[in-house]
Amino acid sequence: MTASTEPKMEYPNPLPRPEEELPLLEKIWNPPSGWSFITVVNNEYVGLFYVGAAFLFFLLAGVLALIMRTQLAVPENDLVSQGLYNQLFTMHGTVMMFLFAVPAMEALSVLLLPNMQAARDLPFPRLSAYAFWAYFVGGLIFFCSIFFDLAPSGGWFMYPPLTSHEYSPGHGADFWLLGIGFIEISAIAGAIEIVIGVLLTRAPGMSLDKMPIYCWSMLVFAGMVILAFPAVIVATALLELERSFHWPFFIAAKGGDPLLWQHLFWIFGHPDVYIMFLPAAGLVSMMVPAMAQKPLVGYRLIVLALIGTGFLSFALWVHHMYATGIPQLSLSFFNAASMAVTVPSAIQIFAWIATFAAGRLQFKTPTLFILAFLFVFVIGGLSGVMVAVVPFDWQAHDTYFIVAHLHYVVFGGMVFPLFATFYYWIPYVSEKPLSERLGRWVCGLIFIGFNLTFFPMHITGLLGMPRRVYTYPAGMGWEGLNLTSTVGAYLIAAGVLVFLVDLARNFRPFTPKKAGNVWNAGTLEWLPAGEYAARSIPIVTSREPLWDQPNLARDVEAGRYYLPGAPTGRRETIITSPIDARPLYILQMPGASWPTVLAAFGTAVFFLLLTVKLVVPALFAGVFTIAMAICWMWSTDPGPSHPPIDIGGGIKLPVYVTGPMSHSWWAMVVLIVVSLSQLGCLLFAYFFLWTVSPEVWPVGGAALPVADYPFAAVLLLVLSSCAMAYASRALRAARSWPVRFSLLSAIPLLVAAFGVELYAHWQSGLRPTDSSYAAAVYTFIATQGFFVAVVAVMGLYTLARSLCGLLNGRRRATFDNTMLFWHYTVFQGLAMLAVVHVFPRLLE
Amino acid sequence: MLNLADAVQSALNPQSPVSQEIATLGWVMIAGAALIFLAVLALTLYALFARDEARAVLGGRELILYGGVVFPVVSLSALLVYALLTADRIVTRDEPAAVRIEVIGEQFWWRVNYLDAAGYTDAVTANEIHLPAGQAVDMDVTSEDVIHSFWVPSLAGKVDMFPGRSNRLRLKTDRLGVWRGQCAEYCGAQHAKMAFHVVVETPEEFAAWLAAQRRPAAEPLDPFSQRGKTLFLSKECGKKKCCADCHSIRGTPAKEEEGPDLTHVGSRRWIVAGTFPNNVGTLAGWIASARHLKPGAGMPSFDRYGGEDLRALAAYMESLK
Amino acid sequence: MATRYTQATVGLFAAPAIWAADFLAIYIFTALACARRFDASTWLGIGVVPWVIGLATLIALTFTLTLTLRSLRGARRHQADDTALFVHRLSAAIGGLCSLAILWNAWPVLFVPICG
Repeated sequence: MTASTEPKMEYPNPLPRPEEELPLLEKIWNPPSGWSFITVVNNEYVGLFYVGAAFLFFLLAGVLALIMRTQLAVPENDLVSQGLYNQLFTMHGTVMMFLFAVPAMEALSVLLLPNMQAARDLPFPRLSAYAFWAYFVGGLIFFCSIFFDLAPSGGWFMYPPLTSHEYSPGHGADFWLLGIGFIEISAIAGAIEIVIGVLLTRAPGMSLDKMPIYCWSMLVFAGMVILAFPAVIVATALLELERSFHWPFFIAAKGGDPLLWQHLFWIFGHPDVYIMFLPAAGLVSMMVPAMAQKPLVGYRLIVLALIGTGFLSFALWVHHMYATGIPQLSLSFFNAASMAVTVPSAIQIFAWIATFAAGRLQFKTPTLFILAFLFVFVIGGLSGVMVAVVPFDWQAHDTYFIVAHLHYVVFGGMVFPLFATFYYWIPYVSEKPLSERLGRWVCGLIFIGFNLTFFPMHITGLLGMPRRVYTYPAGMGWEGLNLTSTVGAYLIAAGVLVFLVDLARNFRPFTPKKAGNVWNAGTLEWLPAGEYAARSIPIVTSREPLWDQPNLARDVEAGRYYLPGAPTGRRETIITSPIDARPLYILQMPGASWPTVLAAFGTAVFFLLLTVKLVVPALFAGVFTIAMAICWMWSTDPGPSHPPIDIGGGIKLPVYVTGPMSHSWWAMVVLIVVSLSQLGCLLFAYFFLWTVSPEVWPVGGAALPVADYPFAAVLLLVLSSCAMAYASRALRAARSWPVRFSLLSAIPLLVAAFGVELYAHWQSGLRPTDSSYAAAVYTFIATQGFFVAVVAVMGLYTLARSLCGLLNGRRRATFDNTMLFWHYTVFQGLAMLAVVHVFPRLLE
Repeated sequence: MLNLADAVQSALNPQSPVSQEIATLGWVMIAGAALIFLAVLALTLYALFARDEARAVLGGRELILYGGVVFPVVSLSALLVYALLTADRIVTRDEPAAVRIEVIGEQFWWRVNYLDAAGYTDAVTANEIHLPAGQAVDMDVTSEDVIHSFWVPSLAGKVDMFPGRSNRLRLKTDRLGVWRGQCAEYCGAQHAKMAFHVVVETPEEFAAWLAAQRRPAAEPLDPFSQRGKTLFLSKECGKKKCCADCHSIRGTPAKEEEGPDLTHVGSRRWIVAGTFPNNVGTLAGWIASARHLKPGAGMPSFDRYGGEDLRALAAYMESLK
Repeated sequence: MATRYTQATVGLFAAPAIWAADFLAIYIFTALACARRFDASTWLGIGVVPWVIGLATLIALTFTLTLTLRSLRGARRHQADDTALFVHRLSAAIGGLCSLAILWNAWPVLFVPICG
């Protein structure tokens, strides 16, 4: 622990502060008023909208669950038809997973993360606004499909062939594939922002060892989203290609395999469980010390647990596939890996108990929810070990035992902490805290209702009741247990209803007067704050600065710390180094903008129109979206518009940097990691299909196009990259026309490389509908085509900025990002060419 | 005679060495989980409510290291070995199978083919599988359309059925009786009503049953059943497809194999994939209103037939022992 | 700063990367052995799959344990620097966890049939 007796320090900025400083800061950070209010980008507003939307989806999916429980209350019930029931459970799972759990976690981080680090906002405020609006509009449209009998009914896991064009004609499955695919993209955008936010916008002095645990958990969360979500995006893309164009990835008769979907889906799906749980665990690790008034015991072990879980959870995907006939030894690897991932969870549980023992827990509502969470989650963890054991899972899999287990883990591990979070952090945004009296009722009803609903399901499952049945016969011994579960479900609903009453009576957000630090917590989000967050950005010397640095709140509010005003006249925050959090430069951030919101609407409309196969209007929506995105981007590369600024304490920081120092460069690197993960999934699909159906592969390369084609494509790709590299040198030498010329020539080179590869396979007579091999090859080509299109737009955008005089040797972040992605696209093209043209030639 | 009401479908009622093995594993884990849960609960209560000097003992890194690292590593190592040994005993097949049966999942019923030594179909039935007690039986399971899962909890764990793949499940039990099984992988509209029964009988009874299943259908003796047969073969049913356009009854012109084989449907204990007990009333009701009783299934409702016709058809079905 | 940054990144992520490589290697090899039916071939009386898993485990464990020891030594060298000490100790703990996962992953080959 860090000692609280710091050497007497000089404050970075003297008092009194100039009179005009605070009004200017306020003016700059005030949200827009009137109609433009919906364009607000301040993290507190977007965060609250976002949390509210996620909670709305929780309520909606909860109502679906109540209908299901009512249907199952008695055997042979006919309250709902099998068609509606199958839509209900599909939507319940999908909405809870994709529209509630993951977005809720991202939403909370928009609300809490910057303030915990005393940053003024997240590094890409417009991106969070875009992610929120795209998710909200898209999610609502998706949910409404159930009112028109258009909802998907293939289960939240959407296994083909049940979801193929043959067995699920109609638009339901397309709603799922396009809707969810697009919401995943919004989740990835959020994750990129979180990575950059955690690594680069911490308060000076908040080195890795002093970072709040929640920031660690969000860093791991974001890393997992970045690696896992591309798998489900690839999977949905493949299934949509099969549904729309009959490319046979999952059709056994043409060399496809339904198991490919299961692999890709669970490579995403299992980490997703921890993606929901880790942020919740991080929140618990923030609340426990505050409620016990003692620092967390075992900080480093908890960080170990978070990182360890993050990695190990990627080696668990097959434990959803124990009954699929995969080799016994392969199954057993996953049994062993499941054991390993138990250790980090155990570490966290004992760390919380140790903190209880070290301090003295105040039994307020957040504490009650945390204790309920511990009770429920320990049971879920133990039943998780049971189902990870291969032979036991052969009985338990796809029965109500799993329904029980997954709710103990997900509801227990995420919803209980979420309610604790609501009670704990509402004073941070609201004028009044929530009611302690009602809170006890909420917690009691939900806790009792939860256990009454889900504990009996363990037994129902072992007594042989499968999941996803809309009815069941009498006389199987399941009646009493099911009725109990239904009663419990209504108790949960009653608890949630009391919570809504509490919200209506006490929740008063969007006010300058906050209830504030009612728990005497130690972390920075409890600093006094205005629209601009903290008045000045403090130097952090411990993990609980408010406990260890006396008068910190007063001094921060007085403006004694760094950056007490808005010296450049724009929204700003300090970028600090990733490990030690030393100040590096001042980030100028964009404010509210209409194009951002319109682009989000455009994206949602684009995907909706595509779902119902209105291709031409969809194209218009797409073009509109891109135009709006360009409008929004145009003002975001301000260049060195201002001389270096003194933030106090004699530290002078530049307001603009480029290259590996810059936050946007890092964001691009993270986007490339996303693309690499996507490429990995495509390669996995190719080799998996080869393993299953070697008979459709062109063994020895006989049926492949002659080698001249790939050689030509390689040459064009390399030349295109060289043109960009040359442009970069010319830019440094401040020669504008060579830059423009090589930018302009790099685009056709890239397009030509793509064209050569497409033509090569087409002229050889290969058609994507022929076999799984052909489909895999054309998927590579289509993917590369998509990247080429994106990069071409980026190239033209960069060119336009050059023509407008917005690009030069110093103001070159736009160019650098374009170049980085350009090189990645070339690399991806080369990798795909190597696999498609070399691998079959190696076979005999 | 076997008691139909006892067709159990429960992992907690193991009736074979394999399901017994899994049940034991399950009980060991349940007991262990209960103990660990109580211990964590006790520790939490102690950390919260014991005297301050006493509970402070738990307030350090030692608790995390012993409780969160050492204990899980030791106990999970033991569990891993136990689980692997159990899995090994279950999947190791040390004797050749006496009987091979191919089970094909269809939306929403089970096609059952008994195979001879060369792997050719020997006898065809549906939704009811007979096994000889005490003999090893290999079930080769696959699917005709979407993914299903073959599961008889009292006899073994489940195995998924994929189009284009075949998975093998070994069944062996000494216990005579009827066990219920059900599709365990969501397979569409009527996943809930896709059950079947496994009848374990003595090897002699089994041999007799199989011999009977191989025979073509007997000619109906009474005129009423004969009327049913005529109706069955008729093309005038008011639907696009009539009975004989989907079902086969060996020994008659009905040879289509889209729906379940009905050659010996009268010998089965249940109809509609384990949904209704087999009698004249349920048969007639099913023929008249299949679309209502099991919407989404392939069978149409033959609502043009009057009561007499339905009873005749049902009587014919009933006669196909 | 760049070297400090590289050191921390390598320290924190090398062991998980080795674990991932080991896991993928033995998983893919086993899958291929069963798909292409070369699981029964042996060398010196031991099957190819146990050979590969044994070797992969040994190599991976050597790496992760070396990394763990290096991190522990690094921690002793940086007693005064809170952040460096933290990063080194965390790296050591991650190395330990990865070693455990690698070790457990090798056990199944001792007990269960390969393609079963």
